[in-house]
Amino acid sequence: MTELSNRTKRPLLEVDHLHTSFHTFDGVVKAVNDVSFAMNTRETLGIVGESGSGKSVTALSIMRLLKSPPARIEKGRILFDSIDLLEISMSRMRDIRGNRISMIFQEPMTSLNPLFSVGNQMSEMFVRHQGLTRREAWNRSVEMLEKVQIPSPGKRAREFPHHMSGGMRQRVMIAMALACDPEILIADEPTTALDVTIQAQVVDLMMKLRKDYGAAILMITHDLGVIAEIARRVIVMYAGQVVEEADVISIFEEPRHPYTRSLLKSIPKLGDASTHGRKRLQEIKGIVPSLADLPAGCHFYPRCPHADPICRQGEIALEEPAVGHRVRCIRHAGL
Amino acid sequence: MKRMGLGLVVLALVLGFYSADALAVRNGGTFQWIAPYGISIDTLDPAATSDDKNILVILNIHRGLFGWDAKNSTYKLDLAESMTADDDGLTYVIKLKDAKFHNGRTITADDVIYSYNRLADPKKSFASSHLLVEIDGAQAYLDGKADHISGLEKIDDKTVRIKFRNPVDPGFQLWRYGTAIVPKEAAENEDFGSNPIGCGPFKLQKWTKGVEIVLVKNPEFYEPRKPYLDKLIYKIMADAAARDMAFQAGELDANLLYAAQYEKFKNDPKLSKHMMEVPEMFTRAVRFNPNFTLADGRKPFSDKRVRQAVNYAINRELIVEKYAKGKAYPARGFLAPTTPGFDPDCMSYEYNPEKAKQLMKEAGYAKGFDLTVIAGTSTAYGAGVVEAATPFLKEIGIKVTIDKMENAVLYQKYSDGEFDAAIASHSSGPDPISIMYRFHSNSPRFKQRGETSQKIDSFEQIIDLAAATRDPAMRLELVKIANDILTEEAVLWFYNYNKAVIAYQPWVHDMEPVGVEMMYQHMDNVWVDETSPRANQK
Amino acid sequence: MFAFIIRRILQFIPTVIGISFIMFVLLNVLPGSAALMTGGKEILSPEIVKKLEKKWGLDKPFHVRYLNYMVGLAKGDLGTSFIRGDKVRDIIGNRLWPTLKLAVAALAIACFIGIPLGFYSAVKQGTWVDTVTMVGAVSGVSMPQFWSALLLMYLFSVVLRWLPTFGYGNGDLKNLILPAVTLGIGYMALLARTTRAAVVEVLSQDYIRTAHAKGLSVLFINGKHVFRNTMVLILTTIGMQFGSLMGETVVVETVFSWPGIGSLMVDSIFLRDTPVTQGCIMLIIFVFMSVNLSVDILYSVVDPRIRYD
Ligand SMILES: Nc1ncnc2c1ncn2[C@@H]1O[C@H](COP(=O)(O)OP(=O)(O)OP(=O)(O)O)[C@@H](O)[C@H]1O
Ligand SMILES: [Mg+2]
Repeated sequence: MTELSNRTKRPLLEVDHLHTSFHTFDGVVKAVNDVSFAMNTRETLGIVGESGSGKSVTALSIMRLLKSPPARIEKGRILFDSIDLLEISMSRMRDIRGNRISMIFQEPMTSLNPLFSVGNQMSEMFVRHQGLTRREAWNRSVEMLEKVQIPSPGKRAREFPHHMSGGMRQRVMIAMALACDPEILIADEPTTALDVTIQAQVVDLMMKLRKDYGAAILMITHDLGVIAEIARRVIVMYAGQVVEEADVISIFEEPRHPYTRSLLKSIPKLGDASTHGRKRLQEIKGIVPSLADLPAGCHFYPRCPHADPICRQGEIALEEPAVGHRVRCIRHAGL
Repeated sequence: MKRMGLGLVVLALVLGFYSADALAVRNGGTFQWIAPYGISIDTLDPAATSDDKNILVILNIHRGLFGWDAKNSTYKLDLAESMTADDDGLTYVIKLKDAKFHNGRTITADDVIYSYNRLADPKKSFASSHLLVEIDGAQAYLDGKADHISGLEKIDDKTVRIKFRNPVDPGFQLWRYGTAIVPKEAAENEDFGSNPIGCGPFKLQKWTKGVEIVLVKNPEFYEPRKPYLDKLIYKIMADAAARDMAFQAGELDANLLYAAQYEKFKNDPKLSKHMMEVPEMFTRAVRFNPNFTLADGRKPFSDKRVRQAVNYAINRELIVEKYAKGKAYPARGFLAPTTPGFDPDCMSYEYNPEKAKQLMKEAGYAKGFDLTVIAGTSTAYGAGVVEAATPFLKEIGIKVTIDKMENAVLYQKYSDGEFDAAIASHSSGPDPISIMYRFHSNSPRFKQRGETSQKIDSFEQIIDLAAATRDPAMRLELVKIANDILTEEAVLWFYNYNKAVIAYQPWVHDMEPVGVEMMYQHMDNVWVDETSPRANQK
Repeated sequence: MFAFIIRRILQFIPTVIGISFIMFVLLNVLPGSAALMTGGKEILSPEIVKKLEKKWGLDKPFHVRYLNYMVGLAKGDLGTSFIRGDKVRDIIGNRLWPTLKLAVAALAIACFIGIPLGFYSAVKQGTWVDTVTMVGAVSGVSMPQFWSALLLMYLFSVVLRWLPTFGYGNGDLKNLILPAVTLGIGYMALLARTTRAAVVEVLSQDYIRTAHAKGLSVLFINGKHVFRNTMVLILTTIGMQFGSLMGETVVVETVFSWPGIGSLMVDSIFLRDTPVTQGCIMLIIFVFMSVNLSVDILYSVVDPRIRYD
């Protein structure tokens, strides 16, 4: 009993002061710069942020899918079920990948190998992690396709990716990711590349499956709407850093970081002409600073409407003004 | 004791003599030889080709009434046992040796008449048909104006009478391998070129097209004891560098050297011991077109002094030494040193730029002129040579442009007379009179394109006289004079005579330098000793 | 599929007609005459030349000769060699097998060494193995065949005496090795570089990342996902190389005295033996088209996105 409660207390995934950078000819790009967060079993955690803020690199660091060189994880720990993923051997990592932590990607069109049938690619999961025979694996794959609501799955399994639409392929990716009943599903912008109507279907599917499978989901997205729908807690990233973390309601009701506020402002209002069709976050004035050459102090300083010379003096720490609400801004109290 | 010692010495001498004799010739073995001129042998029908690349094989399969005597650089009787001249100086009676074709049939006078008529058959248009034109009636048959050669007559099975239209030396006309005697029963076959039957020292065993030709000893060859070799293999090898490798690897018994390898062999004391060289009867020279006209209408090459100036201006010795790597003999005139009638003391042009300039001035070309020389791809007598000569000509004001072209194009232009000056290799033997006749205004060549600017009357008189002279010594004296006239007239820029070089393995004996064409090797004379890796190979 | 093959084969016909016409025109305007070349070093007299040209039908007007040739071609008759007097079909037939053998062996060497080398070097990108391989590949391409031939010959025939310097032998393997290696080296290098580039490209594809995310082993991913996609990228190169191999054997054939089509064609061009040249060109076109067709068929086998209906 005590053991169980101990286990539930301990987060399932803990990212602890993660620093990931790319060593390129133009210099060292600090893509992830001291990122920490934790995630509990069955929890859905959202990560939002502009393009280039380091969301994908964070996810790929967890999966250890970054190619090195140029990528290098400089510092930090990633604890998964008390295992430091950064310390274990690659072959142990491969046992975890797809099996206990799986990931789906932004680009459904290119994420499947064009030369092998969908069923073939799905079967690999079962053969690899569950030691099934090819035939058993195939049957399981067909079942999984059915679970993700693909019509006539037996026939579809024999088809090749180019026969399928983007939404269909993303369903296949989801089915594949859930095949081995993972504890964590990392979804890196799973809907960005899809049509609006399909986006909604895919989000609905994921919410349904979350119930059935009980995997914790790390949902990376640009889309605050999706976050609002699916996540309980949200992390806002800017220039490789976590700038704010809180539960969904707090983020929407009382955002504390000027960046989060701008983000929320830039969401198109309901009834705007621009809500028609697919829409990303509206532009925030100014440009994201170069990660190879970050400004001292607050990284948001050059674009911040409340910028003050004091913001440039030294590293800004992540404060916790309210329980469970963290923010990286020295002036947040006064705003 | 003393006597005994003397006896031993005598014995040793005698034994030595004997053993030397016993060593002299050895029967048997296989000889790996080469066909170096091109990637294939086209035909083994002697009539169908006048290309050396084929003839060098043909001459060991086929034989004619006459052959070439390399040692004395003249023709010799071959299938002919004897030849007697009639008083008219035109008719000869030829007796045949007892000889058989490879198929076992004895050769008769009918075969001679058949072979010559076949060669001149107008329907067949054989490449070697021109070899017979001096036989009476051959031209008429060739032109389709007669149905056979009238000048041939069978006296009995072993005797023919041949009548010529001019008082020529029959041997010089008929030693060429194109006039070989062939058996009708085989020669009428479509595939005679691939399945030849001859009467030579070797017969064809196997021909793998593009690869090799394997000949085997003809045991019934009419010359006693010959040939010595059991087998003779011609490897078709067009690439000189690869041949050199194969020779070094011991896979070839002998090799024809090019300039690139000659230097190496010459400077190696071991290799140079087994090497032979000869000036071939090919005179490399630049031909001047007398009709070459400058913008102002003058024709420089119609002036003897300009042609002489060119000959004085260029340092041919230097070009031979540096550019040709010594693998040539600087030319002294038209006739080559191995051609009968060549005079070692003949007149020649030394390198004398001052005199050259003087001559140009006298001819009114002190300022010189621009000249385009056409040249082929040969390293020995192509664009490279002209390039080497260009700075010398610039000294006397002739500014040379080289127009380099493929051989087929060069031949065409050369044949059509479409050039101002052209470099080429000219046959300069073995019959001095017929070969020099090209400079005679009566020759078809001269008529077609004009070999020199003006007809040289003195030359024509001498050469006509030589042709009509029946005393051999007298003839050769006249030839010398005629050659000197050509030199003095500077009909060509005389560059060099080819130095043909063959290197052979130490176990090879009795190969001969052949001036007409080094690759005309009569392999019935050649033998290999015990040290050959193929000494006992059948 | 069957209909596709039939259709493609029918498409050969206009191609053959087009190319044969261009070839005929070009060979026709080429200066020089076969008759003059029969004389070897001697320049034949105009009468003989005229006679020979008449015998070969060169006195007939261009369109008549072309028509005759095409009619013959339709009947499978490639004509008769001027200089050899043999049927072109027989001359080429004798030399086709050696050239095919040489080209196939060279290609095999290129594939079985070049592809793994390129693959390995792409997988080990940036390491010294990669650097050494690629430097080797570049120098392999830039080394003239003539030189590599002589070097190999010197080493293996003259010094070590393991292999014969030259010749076809009786079609023995030991005769094939040096020419095939010489011919293969350049293609091997080219293929190594093409493969490396292809693998590098494939490795950067999203589906490879997916495969890694699935926890598959590197060996499995390389052997299945990377290899198959790489093949799709290099199949065209391999096919085109085989085609060009057929036409580029001349140096190797000459140096090694290999009785193939390449040297025959070049020789016949120099000798102006037009029927032989034409025959060789037609043959090479035929091989080229067949290889192209086979590559296309192979594509439909390897790549499901390609379907011919
Ligand atoms: N291979 C790489 N080499 C160099 N820099 C890289 C590389 N991959 C990513 N980066 C840099 O890292 C930063 C973070 O990239 P990341 O992909 O994590 O952004 P993101 O937040 O996922 O953006 P998006 O919303 O566009 O997916 C970017 O500035 C990018 O330029
Ligand atoms: Mg991303």
